[in-house]
Amino acid sequence: MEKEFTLAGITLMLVAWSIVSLLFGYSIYKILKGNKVEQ
Amino acid sequence: MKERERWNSRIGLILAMAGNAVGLGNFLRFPVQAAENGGGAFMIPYFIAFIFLAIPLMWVEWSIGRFGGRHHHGSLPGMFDCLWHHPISKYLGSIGLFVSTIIFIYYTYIESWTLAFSFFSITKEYFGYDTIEEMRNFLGSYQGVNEGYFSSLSTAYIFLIITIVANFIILYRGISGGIEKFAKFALPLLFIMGVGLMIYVFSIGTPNPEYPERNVWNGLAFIWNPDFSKMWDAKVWLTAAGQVFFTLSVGMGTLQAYASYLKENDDIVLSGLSTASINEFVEVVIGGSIAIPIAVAFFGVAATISIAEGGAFNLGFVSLSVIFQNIPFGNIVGFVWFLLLFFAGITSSVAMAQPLISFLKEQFNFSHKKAVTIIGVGLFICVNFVVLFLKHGFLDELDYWAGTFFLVVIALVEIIIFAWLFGMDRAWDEINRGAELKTPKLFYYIIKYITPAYLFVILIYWTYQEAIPTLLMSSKSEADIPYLWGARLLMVLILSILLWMIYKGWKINKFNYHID
Repeated sequence: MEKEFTLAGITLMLVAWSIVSLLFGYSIYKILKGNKVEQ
Repeated sequence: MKERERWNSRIGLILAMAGNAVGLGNFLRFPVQAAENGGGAFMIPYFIAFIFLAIPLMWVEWSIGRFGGRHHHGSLPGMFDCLWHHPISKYLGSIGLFVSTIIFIYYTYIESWTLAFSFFSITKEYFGYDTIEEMRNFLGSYQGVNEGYFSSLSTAYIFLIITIVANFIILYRGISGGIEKFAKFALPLLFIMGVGLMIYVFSIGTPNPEYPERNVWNGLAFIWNPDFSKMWDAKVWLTAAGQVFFTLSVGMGTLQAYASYLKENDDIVLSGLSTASINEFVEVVIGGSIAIPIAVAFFGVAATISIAEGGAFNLGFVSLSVIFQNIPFGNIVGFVWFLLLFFAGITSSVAMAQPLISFLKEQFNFSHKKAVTIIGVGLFICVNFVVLFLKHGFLDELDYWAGTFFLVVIALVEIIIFAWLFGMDRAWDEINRGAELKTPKLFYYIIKYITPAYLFVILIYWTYQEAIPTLLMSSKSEADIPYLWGARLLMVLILSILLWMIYKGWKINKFNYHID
């Protein structure tokens, strides 16, 4: 039943993590940089 | 007309919105769904749904909320009325109030379990119940489902009352003084606890050398190893769309309620994207790296599948509580895990009360404190049915209709009103008002055509697959059926009261906010 972590599995995990991390990092960066609405 | 309250800072707004979206589902539902639906391959339909369904709906709901707030409305009846000047529009908005109110009722009770188990972990209350069966019995006796460690529901009531009081202290203080301040504290803490737990899980490795195949990496493999054959299964695509839909708390009227406290030219494109990205990070990176990997490391894949099939609570409350008894500092790890779920829960539940608070204040000119008090009393009365009839499926019945089916109905109705009846050109201008990021024009067409079609397909599929059998109660036991009718009666009663209140509210306040 147990399966070793395959290369495809590791790749997909890292790709998914990278996508959400980049999105997260980018939007936070833009907000901190813009700071347009901050009072 | 009184000046509406405003968010104090943008970061506070984003954290409150993210707190609304991040809930128990991020930590319990997502990993189970991913593992059961193709592993890594599940992420392909998941991200496609994120782009074509979640992001557009996020922007649509923020825009509807900000537009409604500009016309002094913080709940869907008023917002729909402003967008579409038709006598029926405000009544269509009643579904938004209905959904958030019903979910608020039962979600608060679930939230109280996490607080209780956080306490039981640190005090080692359940330590000694070290098999899945014994732990299930412990949880069941706490919920009054079976005989066991707890002889009555009094402990459950104590934690429920603490949870209700905590919710109302936050709500009582208002948007900026309560919800925003709490989110600024709770979300970073939730993030730290989540990352800390994730690191801890990764450090466990192979807990029992007698079973070398039971390890954290095989747990991650269980979630992420792709099964591309599942990609041809329509059910997987709909499940992915459903997961994305639920995780962002769209279709509940809560995002619109929060967005109604924005200023006219506050950016929503970047803020909405930030909220979605925080939620996705918590779900995909942190949520996928705790419950399933640790369960596989201790029980193996076969047992984890069986645990997961028993539902997310079986995984989150039962199996993890067994594991906490077998790891170093397990009581502290358990305390942190359940506290994390509590913070994820409370930042969502306070959002669920907001549409009704706004509605009472705006349509009946109630003071904030009066509105919060009325809702508090109403909640305490209604939650009793959930507590007392839990074992008969009362909560599940409320959850299916209010927490699943009608969410898609609202999302479909609101996108039709916004993109088609209000008009896509005006809707596009509304989305981009004050935007710091230029929205790709492609989303104009996605919002107008693809997202409504996506929602329509989901709704038809779910109606056929689940709603009809649920409505007919085909798989329910005879003993439970009267209680399920009771749950339906409660929902019909609440919806009727809301419809009557909309009728009365519009008579009292003959608003003329149809300003274009």
